[in-house]
Amino acid sequence: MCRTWSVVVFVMLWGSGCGPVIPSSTVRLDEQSSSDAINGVQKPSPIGSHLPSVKDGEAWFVNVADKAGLSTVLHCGGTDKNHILESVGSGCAWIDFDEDGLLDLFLVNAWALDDSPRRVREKARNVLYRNMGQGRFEDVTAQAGVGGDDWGCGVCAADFDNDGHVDLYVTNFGSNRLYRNQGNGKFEEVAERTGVATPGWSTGATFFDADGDGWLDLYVVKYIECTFDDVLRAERTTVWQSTAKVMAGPFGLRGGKDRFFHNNRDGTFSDTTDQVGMTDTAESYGLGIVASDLDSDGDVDVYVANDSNPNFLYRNDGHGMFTEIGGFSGSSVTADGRPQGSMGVDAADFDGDGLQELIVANFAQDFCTLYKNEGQLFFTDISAAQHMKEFTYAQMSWGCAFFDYDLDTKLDLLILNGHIYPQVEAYPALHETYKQLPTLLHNVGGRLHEVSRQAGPGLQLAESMRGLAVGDYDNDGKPDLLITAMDARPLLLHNDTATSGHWVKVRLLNRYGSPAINATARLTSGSITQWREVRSGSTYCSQNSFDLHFGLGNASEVQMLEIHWPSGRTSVQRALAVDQTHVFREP
Amino acid sequence: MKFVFASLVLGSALLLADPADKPAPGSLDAAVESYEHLAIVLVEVRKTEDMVVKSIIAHHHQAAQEHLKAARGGKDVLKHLEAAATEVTNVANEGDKRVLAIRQRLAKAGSTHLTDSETKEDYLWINSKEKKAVLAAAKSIAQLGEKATPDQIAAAAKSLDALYQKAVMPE
Repeated sequence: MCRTWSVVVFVMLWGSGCGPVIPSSTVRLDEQSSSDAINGVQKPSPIGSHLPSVKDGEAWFVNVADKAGLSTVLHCGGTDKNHILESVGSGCAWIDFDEDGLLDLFLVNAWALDDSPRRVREKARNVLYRNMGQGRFEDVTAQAGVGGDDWGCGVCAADFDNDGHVDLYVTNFGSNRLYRNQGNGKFEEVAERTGVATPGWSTGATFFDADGDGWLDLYVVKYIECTFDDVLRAERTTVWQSTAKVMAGPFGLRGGKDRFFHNNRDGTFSDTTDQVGMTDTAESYGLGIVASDLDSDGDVDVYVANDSNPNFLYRNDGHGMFTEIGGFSGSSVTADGRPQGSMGVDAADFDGDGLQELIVANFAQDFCTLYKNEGQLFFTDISAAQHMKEFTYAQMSWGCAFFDYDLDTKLDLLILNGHIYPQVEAYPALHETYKQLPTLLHNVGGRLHEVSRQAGPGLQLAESMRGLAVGDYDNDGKPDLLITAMDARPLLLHNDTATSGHWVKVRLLNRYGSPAINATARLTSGSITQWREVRSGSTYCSQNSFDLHFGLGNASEVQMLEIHWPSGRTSVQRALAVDQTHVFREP
Repeated sequence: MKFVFASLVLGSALLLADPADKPAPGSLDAAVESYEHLAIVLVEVRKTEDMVVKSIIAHHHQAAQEHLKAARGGKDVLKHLEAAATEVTNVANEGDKRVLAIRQRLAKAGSTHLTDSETKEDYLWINSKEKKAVLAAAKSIAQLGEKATPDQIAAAAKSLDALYQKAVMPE
């Protein structure tokens, strides 16, 4: 089956009324089917034949990684996972590094270890795949110069030096890397020179403009203090559920201290963690992060997901000084006052009230937590009301993201799962598996309903999943999913949901022509208003597409789009055509 | 207290002895005696830990009450309410973030992540029900906002004191 979508991109120069139109391009999708094994469900018929019988909006995802050419195996230690470093996996990113209008993808890789004797078998490299169109990608890592062979963990992207090109920051066990995009398809590694190499074990990271000076600062989350000798010497000493001996930690280990780097506006950064009020005295085991204007007051706040400890909520005073208020905000622990083993985090206006909720993905035998935003940075745990325990209790959860897969204007929720202990497979009585299926929750009128097992073959692939990035790589208007898994190839889940819904994508560029990080767009179509924010880094150690995606349902026009730029300026666009990507640039 | 520290020194010395050394003849009696001393130390250390943590909780409660008193004075109301709320959070957590960092290293090495086992208690004085109530009090105090009246603040202070007294009573 072939389908044709026209992607017409308009560039509307802010302040000029109507701008020039970029020549339209047509993306033609070939028939796509999954060649991967289906676990636990009957293998469905090929994509083309199922579509006429499904209901409008019924979720359908297909893994097209093979056809797309994504062959890289992502490693994370040995088979037995003796040390906690071998448990966290690595992230992924959607970025358009060559600025051709097609999302390219970046995969963070780590090392493969032999278990007996314990030694490094392979220092695997990160991979950059260029989107060639037609659903195909080519490995351009070597040409681009981003194939670091560090033990990689996470990635976030942004234009840190305001040269108009999106750069990549990769967190590692060991010094981090900052790949500066030179605008010619090549990157140069500048972490040491710019002052953000920060040794130790870094996980999540995000660029954001803390003090509103127009230059992006950087927050780096740290997990645990340990050495590679510790990793090689590690033995499994913890008894899990009175059965298997598994890796130790994180309790009993020393937590890492998160770092904040201020952008000096000259291509370098300074570590000002203590000066801005972000001293991590708790030494918590940090993993996930989202930087977002959570109280809609015009500055960017920071939420950090900590493993086994209360999460942090840093309130920005508008001048780049922060106060950690997680404790009394209601967002650091569950409604019962209990810290969780938190991994991934995302924020979005899930209920359409203009304030962003938080979803936090957590450890097994615990639920993922949905915090409702009450305003002024107060939150309420509404997990029970949304049946999150029913949906997520058994699984161990990592990447998580709000997105509107069926274009019905309501934000749905995807949560990736996967255990950290491969040993659980040997004990059927535990009812746990190392490889787990993802969880897709459909938002129907503000209520979440699980549709995972009816959501196509791509959602029936069990892996020990970690990183998640959402982006519409084929410009068909439906958000697709890039997923990393432990010691496996990545998954590329093409969104093949049959829907009559319309959509728009909004690309917000700053005055330098690069993504306007933390710019927001408030869209009104019919009686519905939706709200999105451009972000660097979120879900779990990953980077979503910078394009803001809006499902519009049956609305045939966007009446109004109100853009709030990080500079404080506001612009309003009216009567936007649907099923297109609109590009707006800050003056 | 002196006894505790002396015992700690003794205990440390005993622990430093290499257990892999070949035991000398008759050393079993000595080892058992050492273990007896060590047991005394361990019991005393646990009691001491209880009292240290109780004093930490008391400090945070007192600080919270002082901030609430200052807020009633009508100056920098929000600042004092938030400071009080932070202190109340520290009461709930049996210490501030520095204590949290200590506690996670003291946790049994190799113990796994927290789960929501209803029977699990990680704290010395404040059980999970009390913690929930104290954290709710912290949020309520912060939410009073800058227009809070002295009566509202006084009521919050009284309510907090009741929670505190109940929490630090021996179970």
